[in-house]
Amino acid sequence: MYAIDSLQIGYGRNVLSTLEQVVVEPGEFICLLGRNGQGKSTLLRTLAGFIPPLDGEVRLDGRPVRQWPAAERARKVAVVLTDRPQVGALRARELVEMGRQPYTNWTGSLSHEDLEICEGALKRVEGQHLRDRYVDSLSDGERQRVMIARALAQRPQVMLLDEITAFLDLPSRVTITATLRRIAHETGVSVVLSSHDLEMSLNAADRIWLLPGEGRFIDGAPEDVALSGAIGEAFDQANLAFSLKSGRFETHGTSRGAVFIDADGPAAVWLGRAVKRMDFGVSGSREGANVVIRHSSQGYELDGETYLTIQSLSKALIRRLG
Amino acid sequence: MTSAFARPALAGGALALILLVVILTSLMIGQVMLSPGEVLSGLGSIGSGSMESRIVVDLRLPRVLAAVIGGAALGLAGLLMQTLFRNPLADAWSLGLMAGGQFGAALVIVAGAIVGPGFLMVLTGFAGLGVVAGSVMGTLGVALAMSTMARRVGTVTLLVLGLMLGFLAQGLISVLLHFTNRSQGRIFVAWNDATFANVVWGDFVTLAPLLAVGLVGAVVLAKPLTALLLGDVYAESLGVNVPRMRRLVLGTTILLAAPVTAFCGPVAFVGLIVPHLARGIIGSARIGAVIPATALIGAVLALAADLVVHLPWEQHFLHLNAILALIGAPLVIVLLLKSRSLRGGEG
Amino acid sequence: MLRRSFLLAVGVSAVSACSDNQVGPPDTGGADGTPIPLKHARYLKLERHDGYMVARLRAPVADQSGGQAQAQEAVLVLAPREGGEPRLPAALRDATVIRTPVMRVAANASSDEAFLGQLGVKDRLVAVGGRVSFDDDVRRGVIEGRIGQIGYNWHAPPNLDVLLAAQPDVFLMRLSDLAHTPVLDRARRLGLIVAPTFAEDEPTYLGRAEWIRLHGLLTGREVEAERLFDQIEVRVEALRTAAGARPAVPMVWAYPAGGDRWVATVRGAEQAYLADAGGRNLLLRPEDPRKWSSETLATEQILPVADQVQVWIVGDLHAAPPRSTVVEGVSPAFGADRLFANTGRSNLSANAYDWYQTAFVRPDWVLADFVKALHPDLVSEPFRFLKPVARGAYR
Repeated sequence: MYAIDSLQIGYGRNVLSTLEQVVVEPGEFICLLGRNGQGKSTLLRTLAGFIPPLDGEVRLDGRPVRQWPAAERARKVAVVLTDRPQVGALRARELVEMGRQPYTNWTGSLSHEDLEICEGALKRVEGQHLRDRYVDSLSDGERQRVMIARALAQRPQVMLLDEITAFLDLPSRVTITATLRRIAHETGVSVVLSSHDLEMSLNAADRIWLLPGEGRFIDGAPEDVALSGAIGEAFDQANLAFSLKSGRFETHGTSRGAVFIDADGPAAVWLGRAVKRMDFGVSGSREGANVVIRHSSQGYELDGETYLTIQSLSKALIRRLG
Repeated sequence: MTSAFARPALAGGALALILLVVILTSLMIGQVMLSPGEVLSGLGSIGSGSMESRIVVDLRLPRVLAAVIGGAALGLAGLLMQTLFRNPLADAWSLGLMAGGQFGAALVIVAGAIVGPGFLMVLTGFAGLGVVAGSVMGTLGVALAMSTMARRVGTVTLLVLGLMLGFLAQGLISVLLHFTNRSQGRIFVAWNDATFANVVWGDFVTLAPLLAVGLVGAVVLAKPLTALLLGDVYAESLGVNVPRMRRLVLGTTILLAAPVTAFCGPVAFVGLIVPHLARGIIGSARIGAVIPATALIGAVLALAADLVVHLPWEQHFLHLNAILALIGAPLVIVLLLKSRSLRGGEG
Repeated sequence: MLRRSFLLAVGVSAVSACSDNQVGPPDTGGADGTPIPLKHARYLKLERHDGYMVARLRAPVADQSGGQAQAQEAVLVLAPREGGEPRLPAALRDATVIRTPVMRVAANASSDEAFLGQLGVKDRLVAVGGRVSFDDDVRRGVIEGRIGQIGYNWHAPPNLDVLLAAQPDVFLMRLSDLAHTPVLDRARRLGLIVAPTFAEDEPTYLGRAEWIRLHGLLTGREVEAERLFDQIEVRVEALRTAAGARPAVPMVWAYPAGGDRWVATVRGAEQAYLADAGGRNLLLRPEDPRKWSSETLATEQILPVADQVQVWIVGDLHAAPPRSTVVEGVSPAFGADRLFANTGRSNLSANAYDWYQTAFVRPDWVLADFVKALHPDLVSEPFRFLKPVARGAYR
């Protein structure tokens, strides 16, 4: 497992970040967050042993990661990257079978056990039906799943994934994140996924690593990191702020008025979102509000008029409050 | 497990059969038509001085063997280069390695002419070890240059660079010729015209071992090369020592391509198109699966083109590279148009 | 090996018409000309008129296209300097008038240099095509700048600047292709007097040599020219008769050209040398004026006849030594060392080869060499253009 000790990552004399004492446990699903250029890729490459640290060490099973012979390191660490390699005529199962290279002899021929491991890996990513398809014919989401299966076939202790969901559509992203989480918990592989998807990471990760800039490194449970305000510090902008209350980014508007929402359940939540979206504030009481919106089985009621959709309600609200 | 091997095995068997047929046809057909029986009797009566044995053993057999192992070697060299450079248009010819090899050999010959009076002896011992060494050095030079450039430029750009290097080498050679006696330029012109007919039995002493080592190299490198299909980073993550492997692959490529260039001239297109044909037939890009098919198809293609040149035409007017171009250039055009990555203006 | 020049009708019509008049069928003689009979030349006609000579030059286009093209003709009027302008009939109004004898001659074909050389007037050369004359004096003249250099023989269009500066009385121009015709038009517009030459295209070797009569007329050496040609003809006939009395010697004229290629003489004027010298060309092919005199053959086409070949003209300027020795192994010519090259009169360091110059002018010397190669006892003078070569040498 990784034991990180006073690690400084970066390029040349440019120190991007310093990590003091960090330990990665088996079965953890860690999401690595940070804005572009803050060092997410650099950290992953340093952890994988592709580039040397500027100072300090990354120890893998007691030994600095770059001192492990390549083949042995390949049995401990597996990576999945953003880009999609042009592989020509490779079938998905052949791609997964490449994950067994660190274990096979010079001919690369696979034993029965190797093939079973590959089957199992594909199964874990729910990709058995893809096994005979050419990789080039797969959708982006399917391809990334196959790449993950390949990494799994390496039977690593740690899987490092560098923004693999960058080009995927939302359902694929959700699926893959869930898959990775499941893999971490069921197989005991530590998974480190760098991501731009803040909300999904906060929801799914056991642990968040945050690179907010200025060489700092934040490490903790998602909720701890959120409550500490670090997320807001790292990502807040002039018109966009992370709301601890809702757990998501919200635009700062100048409030055009306060609205009291008389509703229950999901309607209340979504009405609230609509109101904030239109740069109004939500009032806690009828008395403090400029208008009241009531939700009933007929629709949304404002000033005596009932609107069937929030869209038509919005127009009325804007007319009303200007 | 069986289904994974069935298609390559079947394809390999079929190709080997086709190769045998083409070999037999090449021994039978020519300006003098021989029946299979005459071919066999020619083979059996080596040294007898009969017309069959002269034609079959002294004229046709060396040429046929040179085409077979030369074509196989060039096909494998093309496969190695296409994987190493991640460039579907790479091969020893298109990236200028052959031109470099010729320039190297030309330098050796010119140096020999200036240094020694045994000029003609050097020339008739035309593909002697010195010339092969010159060819290897020249090929190595260009290979290193290409290898450095490959990281920085796109696929098609690298191809253009290779072709430009080829033209450059041609230009340098023609300037070199100026400093020899211009009448001797005829020999270089003849040499530039790629042909398997210049190979005599004695040459196989040099040719065969080099190509055998190259073949072994290709087989041994098959596994890390397959990892390289995904790119340098993934290959490294799978345990491949990428810089060392690059050197080994480049070295193997040179061992395969340089001797063929030295003995047969710059044979075009074979290394370029054969790996694509092999991948298509085998249905997989996995290097280990593709190597046997690549070697066999390379042999068949080279020999078939040579056969066309040596059909009983009224005049011996066809050139090997012209036939290979007739087959190869349309295939490359199809490749360029069908491949999204190549067409998309990449590089 | 000779190349056929591919002459374009347009080129010749441009020569015969200063303006853009169309050229009609050949003029039949003109009113008062008496033809001078030429026995061998087909593309040259000479006529004596009152006060001037007329030369009619025909391009071998008709032969090359199987006789379908209209014959195109260039007409020269050779008028002596003393005496005024010749009065020309209407038919000759468009002819090129050349005042003879010409004292300053430019020529871009190396054979023309040799014609003049044989007539003893090479000092009249003021511009030649290239720095590779076999004649040492001419070559030195070019290198030292006394003789202008107007291009790479006739393979390149002539350099008009140098041509103009040389102020020739006549420019003997070998036309090779359409690319040269605009140059020719421009040359004429600049005031140059151009006479095309087709000597090298004559299908017989005596036909080529007979053009010396034209060079004689141009340079005022017609008597010498006629005498020389008669001498050549007599010698040729004598050699033919002597060789003809012997049984033919099986032979081959083929040089290796790289790989398994051989360039073999199979027809035409070159083949005529072999036949007239008493040789039986084992690679003989049917005559065809549209084709070149040599063809590229494969070793396999040579091999079946090789074991009968007694004499082999195996060396050439353009030869590339073969690597396979199969052919040598079976051929008696190699075994008995009866091998020859046509590089006898060559200056390798100067890239100069008289085979492409004087050989056109002195077919008697060439034929003597061939007879000497085939029947050594019939000729006592030493070899000139041919030379014996050792086995393994090809030049």
